[in-house]
Amino acid sequence: MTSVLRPLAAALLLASLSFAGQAAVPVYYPDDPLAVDPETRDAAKVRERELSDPYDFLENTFFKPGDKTSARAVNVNTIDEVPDSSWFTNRIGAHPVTAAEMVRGPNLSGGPAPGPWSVVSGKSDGITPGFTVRDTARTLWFIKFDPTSNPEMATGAEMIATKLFWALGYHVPENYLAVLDPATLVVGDTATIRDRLGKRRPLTRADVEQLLAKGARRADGRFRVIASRALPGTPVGPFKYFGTRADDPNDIFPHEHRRELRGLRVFSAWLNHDDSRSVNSLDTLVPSDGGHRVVRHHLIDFGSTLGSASVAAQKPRAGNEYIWEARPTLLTMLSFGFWVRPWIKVQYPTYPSIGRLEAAYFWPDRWKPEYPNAAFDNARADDLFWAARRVMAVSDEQIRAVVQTAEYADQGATNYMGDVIIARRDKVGLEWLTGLNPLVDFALTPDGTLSFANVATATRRASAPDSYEIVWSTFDNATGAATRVGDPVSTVAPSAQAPAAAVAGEFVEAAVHTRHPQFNEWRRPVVVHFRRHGATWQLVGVTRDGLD
Amino acid sequence: MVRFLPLLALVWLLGAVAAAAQSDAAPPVPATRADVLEAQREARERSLGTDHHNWVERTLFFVEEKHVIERLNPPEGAYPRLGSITSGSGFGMGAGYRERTAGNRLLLDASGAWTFRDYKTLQARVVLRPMASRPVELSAGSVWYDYTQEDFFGLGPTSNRNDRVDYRLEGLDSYAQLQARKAGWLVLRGRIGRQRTTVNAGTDPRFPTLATKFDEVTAPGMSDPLTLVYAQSSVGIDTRDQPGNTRSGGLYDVSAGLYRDRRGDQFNFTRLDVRAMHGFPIFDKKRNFAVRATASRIDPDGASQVPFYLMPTLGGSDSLRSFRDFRFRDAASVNLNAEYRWEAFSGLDLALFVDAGDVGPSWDALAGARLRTAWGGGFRFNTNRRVFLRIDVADGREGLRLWAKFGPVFAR
Repeated sequence: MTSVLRPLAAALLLASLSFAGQAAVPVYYPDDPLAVDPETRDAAKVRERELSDPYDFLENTFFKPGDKTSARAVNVNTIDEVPDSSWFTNRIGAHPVTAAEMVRGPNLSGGPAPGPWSVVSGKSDGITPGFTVRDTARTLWFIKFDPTSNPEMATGAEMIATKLFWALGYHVPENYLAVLDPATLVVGDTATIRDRLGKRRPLTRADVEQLLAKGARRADGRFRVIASRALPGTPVGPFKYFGTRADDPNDIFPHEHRRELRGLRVFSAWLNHDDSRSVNSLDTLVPSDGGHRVVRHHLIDFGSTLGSASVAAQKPRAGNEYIWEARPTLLTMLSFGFWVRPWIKVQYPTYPSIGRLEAAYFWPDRWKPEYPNAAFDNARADDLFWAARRVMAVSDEQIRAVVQTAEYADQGATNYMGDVIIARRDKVGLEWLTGLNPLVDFALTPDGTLSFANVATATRRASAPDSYEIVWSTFDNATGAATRVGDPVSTVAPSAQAPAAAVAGEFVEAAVHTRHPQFNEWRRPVVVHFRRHGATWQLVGVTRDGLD
Repeated sequence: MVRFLPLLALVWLLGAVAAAAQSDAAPPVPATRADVLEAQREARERSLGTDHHNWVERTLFFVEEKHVIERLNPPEGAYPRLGSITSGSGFGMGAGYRERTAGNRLLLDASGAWTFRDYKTLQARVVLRPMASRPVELSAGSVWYDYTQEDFFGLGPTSNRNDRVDYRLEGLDSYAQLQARKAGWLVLRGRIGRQRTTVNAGTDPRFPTLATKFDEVTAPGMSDPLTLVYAQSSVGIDTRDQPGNTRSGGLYDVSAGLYRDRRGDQFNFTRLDVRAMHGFPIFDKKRNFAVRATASRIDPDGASQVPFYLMPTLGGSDSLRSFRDFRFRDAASVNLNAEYRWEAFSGLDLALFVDAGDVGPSWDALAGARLRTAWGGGFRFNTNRRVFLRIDVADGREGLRLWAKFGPVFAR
């Protein structure tokens, strides 16, 4: 290059860099971290869609849909949390939730109005009986029964799971335990039922009696049922655990990369929600605070959770193996059945009202739903950790209070259910709170004292670590560059004073490593960023290093 | 270098202007995270569509929405008949119609079917359940059949497979039956009927017809039409967990029948059938042993005879599986079967089996005899309640044989 061209090139580079710098994206925007996902677009044009249940099984079992890239969940905010949205509302683990609030759960209306129920339609297909009724306040309710073989089982599981999934942050229906007296059931003039061939015809009293015969009747001739309130809004079909809904303008995050759907694997394992698949979800079109309509995503039908499979006790396979899985199938085939699936040998206590549920053989990481779930499969250690924190935030007292709402006649069953849920919770914590550096609740005081908590230690899932090592840096929000300040600081207590030079700027970075003889993964740092906010520091960034 | 400063300044200025112009054309840089998301949603709104189902999903939808499976066996109205009519008939199809009246206590049912081997059948029946709360069933009906390519290899255990001939069996069976269950496991059945049969030349061009190798001595009843009246009764114990896919429990029954020739004494005889079948789960129902023993005998009265086509048979997918359907016939038969089954996954069981059996002029003749054997393995595609497809491969003295059947083994 000639001596003339060289300075010219340099000038052009300088010019492009300086203007490019003006358009550069900052690491943190002023509104970070977002607490609410602003779903601003009107979804009024969303239309109802149906999904084929058998196809969902085939697609998820044999074709592995969705993006399988191992990447951080795309809908988390900059502090690695899930903003409130049409999918999720931060409750336990984010805010204090009392036992009374958990017992109430989503139930705000108080249940069906007193007086007779008018049957609107009956459900005759399949083996689970059911009715749709209107109470005297004209509110629509779906009525579900227990199987004759297991009184109290499906209704009890539905009560417990509804309240716990609500507490964990999901949108769920209002489900009430109620007593149905057949004598007060009125067949509405326009009530219909579909016959086995799908043809709709007027519902008769004989149909009602036939349906009731499939449910568990109490000694007094009445039925213990779940009254599930119709969800607010217009139903537009279930959601999938991968991809996005093509007609929803707000649905920009692929479902398999949503944190709350990945984390649902943890909650489902805890509560043995093996039926966690599209068919047990429902989207409804509801008005938003902004005056437009948004699609709200719900989990529904918890009859197949815990020890219940709705129409019978859970099969031993439930939670242990997919409906179809190549390896155990081949092993069994080739060994002439002499290789025995280990879960077959599991013993269950005989509580008909509970079904098949235990905590001794259960191990969270081994747990599986009925068939593969794209979001569950994409769950990484940070997703599992996020969810496990919420599980561990549910106290023994809260669990036992929620179990009481199942109103089991047998106190032994009540106690057992509480014990099992607590034991499974503790295993969830042991497995997924310790899989990465478990530091949370970072704060930086105005005088520069950093504090944090070790959630694995705090929940007694791990012993105290040997020490924490903190690397301080200044942080350039425009470029993302961190400039180290001083030597690493070692501390036994979960707090440390920042060097003055580190907190002199607008942003400060702390990378905290944990040294524990048992958990090498904890050496990978949690990197946190604080932004000066007047006289105080605001946590704006949490990154669990080594995962991305 | 200094002499280039004005030039450098000019270039910088040009670059700046160009970049500014470019930035005017580009969308505004988001100022907040909310703006970033808003921009993404705005862009998405411009490319909204609808979710499309592929052809597999559309097909499954169709099957679900139109209740195709249920329509194959509806409780009322028209229904299709698919599958075989009888052993060896081949695949066929047909249609039927049934009506339930009198508060579901009376069933009227009529159907017809035809198979690709030209087997045909028509049937009509009336079933009455007089007491809704009691499992008592009265039924009456008629079945007309035309089995065009039935196989016969000769009577006795030493029949030669090269003697295979073909015959056509046409008949009409009219009956009345009473069946009752007690305590869920005791099954009682009584039946009376009239059966008219005619034997003619078969239609399978691959094999000679019956008359070319056999006569009235070696194949009694082959010449003239025959009309029998009969009375049968049976008592059984049924403790099977699922009759269509038995993994535990058993079925034991004894059936006796009296047959009388309407024209004279040429074909008067009695028949006795004994059956014992049991499923033994090994620890759980994921593995089980199933064993079955059947024995049949026919005893002619005095100098009477037994038509060859009503004699006990062995061979086929449900008895000696390495032998063809009806390979052996005689006045008595014994059949022993054992199957070891294990579940590969919830929709498929595998099986290893051994069959043994033989026919002879009497049970005494079979006692101590060395039985013919078959062995093999198979697949049972199933739901919890029933086997809907069974594939067996069996080997024995007459070679390999493959069976595909839409139902469980040991059902008869």
